[in-house]
Amino acid sequence: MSNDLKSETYLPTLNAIDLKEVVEFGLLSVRGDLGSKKIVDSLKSSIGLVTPAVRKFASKGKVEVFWMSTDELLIKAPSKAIVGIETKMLKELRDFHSSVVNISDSRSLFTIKGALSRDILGKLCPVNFDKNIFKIGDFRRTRMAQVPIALSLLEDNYFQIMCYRSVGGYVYNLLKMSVYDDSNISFY
Amino acid sequence: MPYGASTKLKSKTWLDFQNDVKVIDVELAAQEGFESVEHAKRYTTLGMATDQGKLSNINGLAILSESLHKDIPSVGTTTFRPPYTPISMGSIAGEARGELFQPIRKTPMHDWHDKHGAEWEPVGQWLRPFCYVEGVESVEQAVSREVMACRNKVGVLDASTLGKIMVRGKDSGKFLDMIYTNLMSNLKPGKCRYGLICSENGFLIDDGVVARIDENSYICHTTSGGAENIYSMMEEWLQTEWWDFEVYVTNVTEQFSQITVVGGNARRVLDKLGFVKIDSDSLPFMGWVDEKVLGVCVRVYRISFSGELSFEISVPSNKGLYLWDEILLSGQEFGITPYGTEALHVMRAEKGFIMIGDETDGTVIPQDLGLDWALSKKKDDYIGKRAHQRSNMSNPERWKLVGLESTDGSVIPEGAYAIGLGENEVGQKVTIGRVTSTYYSPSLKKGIALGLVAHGPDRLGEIIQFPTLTNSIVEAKIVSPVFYDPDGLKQNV
Repeated sequence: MSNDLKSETYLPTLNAIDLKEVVEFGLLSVRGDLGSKKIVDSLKSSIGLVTPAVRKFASKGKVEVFWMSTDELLIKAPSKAIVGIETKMLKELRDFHSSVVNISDSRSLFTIKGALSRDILGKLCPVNFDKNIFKIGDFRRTRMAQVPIALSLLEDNYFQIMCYRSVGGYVYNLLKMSVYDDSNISFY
Repeated sequence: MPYGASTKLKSKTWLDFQNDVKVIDVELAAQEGFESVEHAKRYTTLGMATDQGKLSNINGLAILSESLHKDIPSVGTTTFRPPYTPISMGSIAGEARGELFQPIRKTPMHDWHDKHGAEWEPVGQWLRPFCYVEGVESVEQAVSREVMACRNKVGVLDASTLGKIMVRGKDSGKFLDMIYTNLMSNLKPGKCRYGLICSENGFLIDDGVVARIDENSYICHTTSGGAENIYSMMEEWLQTEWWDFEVYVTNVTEQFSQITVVGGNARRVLDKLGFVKIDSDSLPFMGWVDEKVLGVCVRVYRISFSGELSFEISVPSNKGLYLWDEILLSGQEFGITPYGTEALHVMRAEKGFIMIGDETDGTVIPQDLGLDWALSKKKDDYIGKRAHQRSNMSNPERWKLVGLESTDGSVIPEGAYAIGLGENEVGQKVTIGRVTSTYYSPSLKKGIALGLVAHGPDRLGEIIQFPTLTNSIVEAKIVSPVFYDPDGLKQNV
């Protein structure tokens, strides 16, 4: 939603919830046979992570890798580091059937933190946010109201939300509405 | 229901007001053997509307039990489903109200457009500026001003909504040869080619410029509304039919903002900003180059949808607004004018370029539009090729693309049909063609239109008649669809 992103934008805090837009991040879309030695080795050497299991993400420091589908991963890293990772992976996977594409500018990213975050997201997404079901390290591609999004649980009650850039404003407004005290449902 | 009512009365006696189920329908269900209440419900749709039978069920069950000669309790009830208990309309609407009624896709320059008088036009889920109204001028005046600025000086368009699909892998060329009707595999890196995509039934569904990036990768541009569909179509073919092709596709539509600089002064505007590889030798028509300008890596495509000298600049979206601002600043002394989708449409129509959704409507094939040149004869196969061999596709009676000029200079009404001699089998006037696009051309100072006309290309110079909704007739001369600069001299400088 931000245009020329320079620093993290802090959004208003309501309902003891911390809602933030994250800027300064890079993204790589990686496609290929996720079980292949080439991809596994390249992930290890370029970001030091293993291929995440189905509907999970793996992280190390500020780098995260998300399981997107049976042949697709998404790597998130600080924007300064992303081109380095892209170059290294492209080189390592040169003769291997795969694709590494920089899509850093194509997504908006938000985080939501606080005891009510499961309730706030529960009103917007068809996902079971029960503590025993949606756990730290879990990653879900779903929808939020009328747009596709991806959710990851970074720490307890600390979610990261990714959506297409063009609807960043829509997603932010949805979250802002769902955060209002009056609309608390205290379900989870 | 009065005892002994006639069939005529029963057939007009509604039980379920929401689903229009009548007494006679329930009786028929019983007669047909749908004796279980659940079967009778499904046969008639009784009680299946949003009221879940609140209005109708008891009466319906009574009719059914009577027909079956049973007590009402022994017939039983169907399963009531939500919303059996009333809920508020608010619960149904959920978040979808006010500014959240539906998602609006915004380009990085959206707020700029909003601040500068944009009249919005929905394009797919996007909002694009239709034109920018200045001061007291009307929308029509704004469009004409924008067209003339591009024709005489320089204009700038936010083309970020264009679909952009990255195709990578050693079989990319082979894959695109199947997707597009024309040959893409022999395109050289650094070059662009306009291509067509047909459905399996041969109908034209999308078009756009394909650029070859290197040996194994291409960028395919699609229409703004078609990006997601074409991307899904490519994935589907790769996952189902061509799973052995070594190709991956990635939708990078939102990764890049695209800024089109159009007009005789376009090169001067970019020169001043520090673009160094955009002279006609380094960047000929239908080529592309990478540049680093103002610290930003950009890709410049020399393609033209307006017939003017034109550069389409692709820039990572985070820098889209920045470059947009810089281009406007640099262009000030050259009379740069931001323009919207309507000026874009007028200029492409002046050049006879087709628009998916105007010249096509799901029944039009490339041959109807005189695009036979884009149907490769060298390829064994591509999507739509087999369909094009059906007899109806080569029927000489198919309406073909022509230009239309009203004899009085007026703008022919949108969607008007041309009439021929006589009437058809149901007593309607015979139609021989229709208008697909129609505009006032500020460059030519008259109404121009594109249309599909029976034997059109063989009838240049003939006058045909378009009745209007007010019962008057507009006469139009059939002309070439290229109204402006037919030799393409202006784009090739």
